[in-house]
Amino acid sequence: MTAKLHPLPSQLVETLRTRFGTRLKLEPHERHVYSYDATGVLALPDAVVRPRGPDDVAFVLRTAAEWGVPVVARGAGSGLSAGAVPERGGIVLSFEEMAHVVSIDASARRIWIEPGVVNAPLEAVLAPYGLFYAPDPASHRVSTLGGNIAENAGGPKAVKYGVTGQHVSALRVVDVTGAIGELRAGELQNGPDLASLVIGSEGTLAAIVAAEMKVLPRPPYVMTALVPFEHMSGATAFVSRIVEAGIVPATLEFIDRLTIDAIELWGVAHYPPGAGAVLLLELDGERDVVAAGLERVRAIAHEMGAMEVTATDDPAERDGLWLGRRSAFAAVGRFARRAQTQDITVPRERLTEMLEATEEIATRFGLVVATIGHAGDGNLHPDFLYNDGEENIEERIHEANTEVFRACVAMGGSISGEHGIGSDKLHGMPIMFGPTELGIMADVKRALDPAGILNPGKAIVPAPRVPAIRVTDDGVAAAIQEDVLRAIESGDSPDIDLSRCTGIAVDPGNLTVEVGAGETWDAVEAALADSALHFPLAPLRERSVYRSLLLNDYGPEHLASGTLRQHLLAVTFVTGRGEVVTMGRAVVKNVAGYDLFRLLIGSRGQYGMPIRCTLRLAPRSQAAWVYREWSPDDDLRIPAGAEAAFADWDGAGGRVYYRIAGRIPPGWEPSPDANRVLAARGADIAQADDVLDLHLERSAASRTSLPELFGLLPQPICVLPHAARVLVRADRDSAVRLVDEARARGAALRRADWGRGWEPLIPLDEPARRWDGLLTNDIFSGSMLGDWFEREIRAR
Amino acid sequence: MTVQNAIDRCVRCGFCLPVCPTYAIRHDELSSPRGRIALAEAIVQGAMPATPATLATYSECLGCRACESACPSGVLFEDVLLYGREQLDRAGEAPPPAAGLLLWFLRSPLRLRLARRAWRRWSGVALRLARYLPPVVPAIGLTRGLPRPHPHEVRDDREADVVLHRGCLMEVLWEGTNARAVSLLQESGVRAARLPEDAGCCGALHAHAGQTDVARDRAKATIEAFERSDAAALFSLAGGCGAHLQRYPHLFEGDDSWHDRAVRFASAVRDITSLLADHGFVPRRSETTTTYQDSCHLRHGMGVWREPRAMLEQSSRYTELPSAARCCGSAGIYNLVHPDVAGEILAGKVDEATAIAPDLVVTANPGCEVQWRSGLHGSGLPTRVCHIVDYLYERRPDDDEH
Repeated sequence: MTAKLHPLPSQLVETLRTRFGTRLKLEPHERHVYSYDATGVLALPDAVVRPRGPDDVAFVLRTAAEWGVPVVARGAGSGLSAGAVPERGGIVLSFEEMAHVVSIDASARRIWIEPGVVNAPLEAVLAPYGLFYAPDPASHRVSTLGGNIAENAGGPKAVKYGVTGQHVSALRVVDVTGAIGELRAGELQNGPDLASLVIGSEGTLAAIVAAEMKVLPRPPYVMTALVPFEHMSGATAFVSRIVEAGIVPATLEFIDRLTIDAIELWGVAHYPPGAGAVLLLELDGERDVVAAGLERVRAIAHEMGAMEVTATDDPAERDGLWLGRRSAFAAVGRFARRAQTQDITVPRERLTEMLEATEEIATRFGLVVATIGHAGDGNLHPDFLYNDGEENIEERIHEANTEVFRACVAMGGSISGEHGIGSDKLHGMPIMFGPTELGIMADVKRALDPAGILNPGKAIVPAPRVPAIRVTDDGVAAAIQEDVLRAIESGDSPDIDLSRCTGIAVDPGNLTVEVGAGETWDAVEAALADSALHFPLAPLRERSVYRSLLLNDYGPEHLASGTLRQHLLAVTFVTGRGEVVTMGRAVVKNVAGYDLFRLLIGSRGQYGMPIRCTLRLAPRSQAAWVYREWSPDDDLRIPAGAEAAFADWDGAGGRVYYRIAGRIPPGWEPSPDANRVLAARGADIAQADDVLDLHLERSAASRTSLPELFGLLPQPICVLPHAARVLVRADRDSAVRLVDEARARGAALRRADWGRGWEPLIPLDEPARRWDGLLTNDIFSGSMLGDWFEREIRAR
Repeated sequence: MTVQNAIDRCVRCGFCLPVCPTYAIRHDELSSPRGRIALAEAIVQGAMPATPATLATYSECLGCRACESACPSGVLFEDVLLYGREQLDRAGEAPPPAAGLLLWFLRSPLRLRLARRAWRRWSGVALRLARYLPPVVPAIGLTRGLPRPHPHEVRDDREADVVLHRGCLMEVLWEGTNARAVSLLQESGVRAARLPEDAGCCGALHAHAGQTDVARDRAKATIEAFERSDAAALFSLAGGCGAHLQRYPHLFEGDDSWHDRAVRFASAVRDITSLLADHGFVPRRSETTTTYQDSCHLRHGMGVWREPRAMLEQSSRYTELPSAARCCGSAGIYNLVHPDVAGEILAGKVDEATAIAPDLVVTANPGCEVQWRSGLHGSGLPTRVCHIVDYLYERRPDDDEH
């Protein structure tokens, strides 16, 4: 690479200089340091701009779009897929000056952050509030939340707490037109899950200028255990047993012999000598629960032939153990100049098989491999170590990578669990996805970024859209595809019966279930009745899987389990063009390509008809219901251990019910009839034709609006106080009047659905509305699907 | 070529960013260790010209080596820094006049000896006059509260096992501290002595200013003086000197005979608190509240940071300064070259000290002592600053407890 003078048009440079002054970097040495990430790929940007707010970003995007110049957003440049490397030049947007925690709402457990905020220091910021931010990619001391969101980063704690995307409740984005707006995800999501489209899209669809993240109560006690095994196979067998036993550790990390050696050269961790592999297992929660869990872990370890298990709750010792693990990627740099880091994910019970396959591939291509991994969620990082100048090294590495991709895809896994595709893994995309999926992803990119200026050449391959390919190996999908294709030909709206989509397949070793979209939640629960697992969400209004998916329904469990988007791992669906699309895999970490299947959540059928989906399960909870008196102006703090909440209000008084794991806190009474009350409210909702379903923003700024809203409302049927969701009966005219009046009074109403068909009374904001229009019309041919869904709803 | 080793080791993970004092101020990759390594790579490859503008970041770097402690891949960043500074020197970028004069002055042991004599005699007058100097950082730090001379003459053991490298400024301005260190060791039963004055300056400041040839001459003189002393160990009371003494072998890559001597020499380099701890020194307890500023090179270069803390925890009510491991901005002659950056770093330190409000800030390096003293001056805090040797000397165990 040579240092070139910036070839940007001088008029563009002047435009940028006028606005940014010294925050525009043009000198070769100033630009050179923004030419890399942690992959070793270098490409010099033509300019570096340091924005200080959304308007700065919008200005850059508008200007760049006008001139057709690439724009690459960059956080800390710690990525492992060349995602932030400006391979086609252009402007690097460095978010180093947009690094403020904007607000902390301890009661709602939400924080607003700017994208340049570094992950690890949040720990100290949130500790005084008794809160913490869970996702912790190994690079968390360096990496920024903006980068974490763009890559949908995972990290050790993902096994218990999930990946970055699951902790996002809203994004503020800027699109290529320079429009600035919010994309809400989860409870307040007023349409398709567009936020999930941006999350993990590696800066190719929009720039993220702020995000609202969920934070959690800090666990009172944490214990880190080191479980060494003489051989790798013992370690993976142990992982399977832990998962099967229903133990969900906060982390379950795997480190192999070679990596242990590298870390010990640095000397920060003190891993046991003589171990062929170690597992780093962390348990968090109440002290007695953790202690009991550790005893079970010790017993299983003993049974599986582990070497001596050590456990510590000393923060300094824990830090040392973790620093070793977190630095593994860099530590193996001591053994070779270059390391090709893989990031594959397989269903948990295929872990041993995948490790063996990796070893075999390394041997076949004469490569040295060092492997670490998030064993608890099936995510492995084999590192092929090599030096420049070795014989045919480029070819051998490329071939070995390809073989690893093939192996993990064959096992039902993903070619990237958390690092992203960037440009580094692009060649794996056609291995993981068929021409249909590749073409749709590329079309989505073309729709939202027609000039292709946002991080060009990353995340997806520029595949052409192909006509619908007839499905042969999937009976139900083929039948529905046939119906849709016939409808397209005849010009009629398709008459599709999704109740044909049946079947429930539980995979207890992987903590997942595959469910036909036509099944009901009762059937799912029945299928899980004999297992130690359950599906931790029960939607409030809808009993069928596809309807609650397409309408984004959620119930009292949102408190701990969020909404469907936190649990949906994969969907097979049919688009309005008759294409059968399978996106996602039965793995909890998967950042390959765009998460198009999550678009279906809340889409009201505009993006596709779901055939079946894969859901994440959780160990069955032992929680019990408690209650106390309640009124809408109570400032409710979520009690420790609470996993579900709803409230009942009869105009004069009410009760709030919580399902709580562990001890009942003082001031609360056990409630044996909570389930009966909830069922009765469910029946009220189901029987009524005129339900108005309101969702308020429950932030510190708008907290007063719940009681204010109550002043306007008829008697509610049911209230979910922490989502500020209120269901009342109102005919359509009064519902419309009510919503208008509430908004006029400044109530932060984000979502209002009326009637059996969940008619949305609040339209999408920009740019979400524009995006939704582009995607429905140009990509998924959704107007036809929309007709189908409206009719289906009316027919019920 | 050692800079190439550092470049090869770096995997660009960025773990060095959060510990870098200049990155913390600038939030610009150009002011980060990773950026400086990447830039060095481009310059070595000839892809980037070595001009004063492209090299400015190597002057801006404090050279604190915190990035080395944070580096999982084991990059020796100092090699990159010295490469950059050497390039700066070649590009004709001279240090500012005051720093240049200081570097010239320190080259000669004779000049140092004369300075020490003059200081002994005229320090009272000089300090009074110095109050009329412009209030730059070193002037404030030097003129307010330098350690007292040692009250009595310390006799050097003729057949010493441990010798003190007196240093340059240390021996002129902290002569009493040097004497007390030898005294403390002797009272702990160690045969200790000061290295003769002809050993002179260790050359660390020259090396860090890119004057590698001068640094090599200083190293040779120091090694020869140590070899003549026949001692088994050597220590210095300036963290920057100690770490540089340990690095002498790097100065003689490709010169086998000197390299071997330098390796033997480097393996003998120790630091005072671990020497005292090894010989059973336990300071007396008091109710003084203390905090500690790491000497960057003592911590990140020599790996010594637990020992001084252990001594302070044993003997006082100790509170850790949140940024104790981060450079205070003194960094050799840095506060002369970049008073603005040094001042900004120092201001953050003083804010932290204000929250703790300790009686004493203890350091292990004269530069940090001066920097902190000037930082606290005018802060309204009653906090005093002292070298750990002066602190420990005040807390020697009583004779009857021996």
